[in-house]
Amino acid sequence: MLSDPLAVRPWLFKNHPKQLALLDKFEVELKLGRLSGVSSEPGAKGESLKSIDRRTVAFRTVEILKTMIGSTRWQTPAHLVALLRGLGRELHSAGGFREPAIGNVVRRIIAAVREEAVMEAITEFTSDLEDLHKNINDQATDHIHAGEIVLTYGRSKTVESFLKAAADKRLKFTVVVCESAPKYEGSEMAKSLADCGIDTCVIPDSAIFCIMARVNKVLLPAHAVLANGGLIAPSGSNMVVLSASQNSVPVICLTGMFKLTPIFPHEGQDTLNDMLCPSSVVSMHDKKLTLNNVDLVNPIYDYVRPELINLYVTNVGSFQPSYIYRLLAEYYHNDDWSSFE
Amino acid sequence: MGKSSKQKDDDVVVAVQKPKLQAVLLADPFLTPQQGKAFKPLTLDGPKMLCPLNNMALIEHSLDFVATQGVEQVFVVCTQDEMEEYLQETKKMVHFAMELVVIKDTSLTNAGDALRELYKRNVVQSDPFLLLFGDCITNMDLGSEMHGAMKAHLDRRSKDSASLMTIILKEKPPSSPSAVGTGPATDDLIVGLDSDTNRVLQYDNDANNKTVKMPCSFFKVHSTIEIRDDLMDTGVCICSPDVLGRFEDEFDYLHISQDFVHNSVAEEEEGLQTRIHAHVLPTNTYAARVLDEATYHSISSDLLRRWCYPVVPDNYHQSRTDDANSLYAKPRRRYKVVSQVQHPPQLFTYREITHPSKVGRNGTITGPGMLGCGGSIAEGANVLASVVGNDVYVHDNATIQSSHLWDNVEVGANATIIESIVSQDCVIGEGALVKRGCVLGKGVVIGKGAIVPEFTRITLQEDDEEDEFGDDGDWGDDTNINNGKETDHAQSTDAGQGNDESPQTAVNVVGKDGSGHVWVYTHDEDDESDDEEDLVVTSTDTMKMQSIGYDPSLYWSKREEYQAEPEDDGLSQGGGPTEDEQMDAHAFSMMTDDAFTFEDIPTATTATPVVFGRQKGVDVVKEMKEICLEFEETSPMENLAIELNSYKFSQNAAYSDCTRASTLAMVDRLEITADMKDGKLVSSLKARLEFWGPLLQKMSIGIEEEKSILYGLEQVAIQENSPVATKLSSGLSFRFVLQTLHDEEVLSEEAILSWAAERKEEPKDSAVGNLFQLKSIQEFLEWLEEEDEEDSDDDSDESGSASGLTDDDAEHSA
Repeated sequence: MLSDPLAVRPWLFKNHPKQLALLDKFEVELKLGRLSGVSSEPGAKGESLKSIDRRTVAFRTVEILKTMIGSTRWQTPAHLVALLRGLGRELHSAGGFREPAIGNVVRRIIAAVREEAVMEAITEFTSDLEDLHKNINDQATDHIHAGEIVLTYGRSKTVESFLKAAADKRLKFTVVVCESAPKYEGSEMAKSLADCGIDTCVIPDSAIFCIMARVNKVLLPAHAVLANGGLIAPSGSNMVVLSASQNSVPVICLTGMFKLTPIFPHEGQDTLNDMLCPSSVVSMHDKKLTLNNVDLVNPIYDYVRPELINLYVTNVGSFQPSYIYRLLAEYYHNDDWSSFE
Repeated sequence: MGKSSKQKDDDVVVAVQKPKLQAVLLADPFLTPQQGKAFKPLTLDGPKMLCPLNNMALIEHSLDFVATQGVEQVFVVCTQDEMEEYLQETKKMVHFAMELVVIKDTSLTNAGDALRELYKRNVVQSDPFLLLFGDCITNMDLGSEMHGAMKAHLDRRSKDSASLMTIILKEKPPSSPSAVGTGPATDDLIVGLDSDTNRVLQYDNDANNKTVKMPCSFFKVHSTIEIRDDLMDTGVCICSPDVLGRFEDEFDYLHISQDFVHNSVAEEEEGLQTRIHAHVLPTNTYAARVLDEATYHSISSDLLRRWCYPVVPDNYHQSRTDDANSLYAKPRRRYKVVSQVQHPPQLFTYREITHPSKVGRNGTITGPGMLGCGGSIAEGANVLASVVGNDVYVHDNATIQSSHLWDNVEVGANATIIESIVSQDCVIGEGALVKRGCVLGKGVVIGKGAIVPEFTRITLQEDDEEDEFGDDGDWGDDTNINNGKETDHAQSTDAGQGNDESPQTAVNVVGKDGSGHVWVYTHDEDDESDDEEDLVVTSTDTMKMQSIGYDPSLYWSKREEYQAEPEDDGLSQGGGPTEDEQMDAHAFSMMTDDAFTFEDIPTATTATPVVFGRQKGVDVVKEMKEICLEFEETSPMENLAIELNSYKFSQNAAYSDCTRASTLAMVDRLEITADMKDGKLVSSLKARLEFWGPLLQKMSIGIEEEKSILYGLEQVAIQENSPVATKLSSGLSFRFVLQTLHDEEVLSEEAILSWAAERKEEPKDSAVGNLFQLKSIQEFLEWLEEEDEEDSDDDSDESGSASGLTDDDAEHSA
């Protein structure tokens, strides 16, 4: 019987080849970044920009874990924990290390197994995800007031619907969107907001500091919220936050609880960030590249220190970064904190 | 209308069972002459596709790619035992979502053979399927039925059944060896594309060609044609399974692009065309082939610099290991990016996760580079922009720069390796120097303090080819080469008798305590470009160009100059050879058989029209009729089809000639006599059609070929003083023959009506006109026209054989 998480793959291979095939298919998608929208493939690009929803990857993980729990022959909760830990490891090494949400889903379900309430936990988690935007948006009027100028960076479904929810309350406010090179998602974001009648303005990233003095509030999306209250957000966010702190502008991060990750920044040096293809910065056919010894680096995320964030607005309420450690204890079991590396 | 209803049935079958997406991966380089002997002598040690690129076998890179395209079953065609063993082992580990089928056949020598073998096995059913070489490195997304190149291919295919293939092309990077995604320096691809449809109209990749030719008729059909020299072939294509059938028919095709694509797109005749389209990848997509050492190096560096994201080393997976249990003990992810910022910065440096090679305190590692597991880099050693395999030991103060060390290599203290490939189990002695562009085969030992000159390739293996051509090597005689292998300390200094240009002998290249001999690059004797006096490059140049660290710009300018020179083969000069001479020359280039000597053939006196590329004075129809008559009807019809086809090619004939000849042969076999009963005629014709019917159908690719059948019949019917003609041109006989051919789905209504339209113009007193004006034939045509109208009025009436006359009727009226 399965007791060692390391033996999950041979165990599945022997007993459940069909489930292993499902897992492999999912891993291919993860590896290609198709679920997280970082894929450099041309086919996926145009469409995915509109439909990037960070929850997709969480939903898919829940789905695959549900299948595994429901259709494999485990006997005791201890076996199930071993199976889930093994799956966590598999997914982690298959590209899940770039998507902390995957590990978080696995950890939460393991915690539920320990409390012997798996299926309820899965249902609860899924409905949490579904209502995520609604619960965050309910707090929109607490944070956005008439006549304010709000600055935001990158494109995020959560931030977008938060701002639209505020506009629905007949508030008049202005949004300054940074163009967010090199992905230039800012212009997409601005278009979407302007279509809803929000007063929107796009600025180049180089103008962030000079416009910060007139901004009332900075809204940031999250890729992951770390154990020390720090934030992993689109590259360029740190620059925004630093100039906000210089001008004493409050920084608010909007995030779902599924992004809460029990990892400290020093633990995830190579896993919390990723280097993308440089072709979005410089064309592959650029003549300049023919000079050797030019290194082009295109990181996808930034780390923002906890003291630079004023508030996390989540689907279960608003918290200061210093409170994050309490939430971790609530959501995950102590034994599951370790990385799936 | 028999034909169309049959097609409809096929469509229904396809719709019902949608086969899973398949791929064919050619795990053997199957090099074209242009690609030369790239990767030798490394390929003497083992299959090329097992060579590690960034510490992962080439074949695994391409299997990974195939898996990402949603392929559910992949056929890996290989020719070597080692490859098969490796794949059988891999099969257990990789992608469970994809089935891996190994097809090994040691007799395969080219891509054409491989595809013919697949055709014979009849395993490739998915339409389309992916066809690619095992050395493709790419992050392209071909899409699905819903989007991308795959959808475009399917759309074209559903509209036009002759659209068999979509080749994937990519824009070339700027000409520079350090550019991203470069192709081989010798690559010189010219592609002609219809701008609106992306149909390929020209495909030529021969650097020795000064001009490319395109038929004038293309300009009438296509409104805009782009001729592009900025594209390169990625070695990936989307194919219909019919492509395999084409290779079966054209049994002399050796290469996919060189023969199949090149010839298919040059076909002028509409009915014979195999339409090939191109998909040009967007510029941010990476695609390149590992074709020689130079591309190997540049692709390795591109991967490390993440140009092919998400195909990056931190995504590589453990897929196999010699010890199956240890596989599971290790995480499947193998490498991680080292992110410490040091001086100099370690950008794009990757280290193995579980047992990374140890690095000494003063050791310097710079990116883009990679460190495998288990080995060590000693104090003061410099590993600069290099890929280091597993269990590699680099001793004190050694320097490795822009090189590739495969597994189990040992580099002695103070040794230096620059821009070279060092394969498994090599030992580099203390203080040795391996200069740029070198390749060291498996197990080669470089002695202490030896100096290996630039662009030297050393191996322990004997090259089969080399034995044949060894004599003209620049490096010394055969004895020398053979002795080198023995690691002979006693090898005397007089063994080296090389010329001034390259005085290195085996012993002073690998050193006194070294082992290995220099591999010499020789051109194939039968390589026709060798005979040309104005050959662009010498073989040594070719070898250098395929090596790491060679700047090919000199070659490029030389090639440009060469191609800019006016063509001197007479075509462009007024006082050139006569037409006949040209024809002969052309015919000669098409004939490989030495038996033909053209001086003996008298100048054309027959009425046979002179056809380009055909021997003068040959009546192809007559010749083919003879072929048909010699053939036993008991043998399979396919064999005759192949015979006819090959004759057709040798004489540049058309399919219509084939159908005409077959018709004549068939009528001959009928043995018609003047007093034969019509009923007898019909029944014996039907019996013959069991054999000839499928043949005629197979060769009738359009209306023209079907009409040729009619011309053939006419020809027989209007012969003078022949009993057959007397029979056929009298009474109802000709009509019954037409009727039967129509019922047996040999002749379509369109063909008969189009023939009739032609004959209406014919003067009534001519022989053909006379025959046509027979009352019985006119009646038949009237009936056919009515039938046609009914058919189009009422599509639900699909029964194609609903004819006005049955056999009984024929019997009766006779």
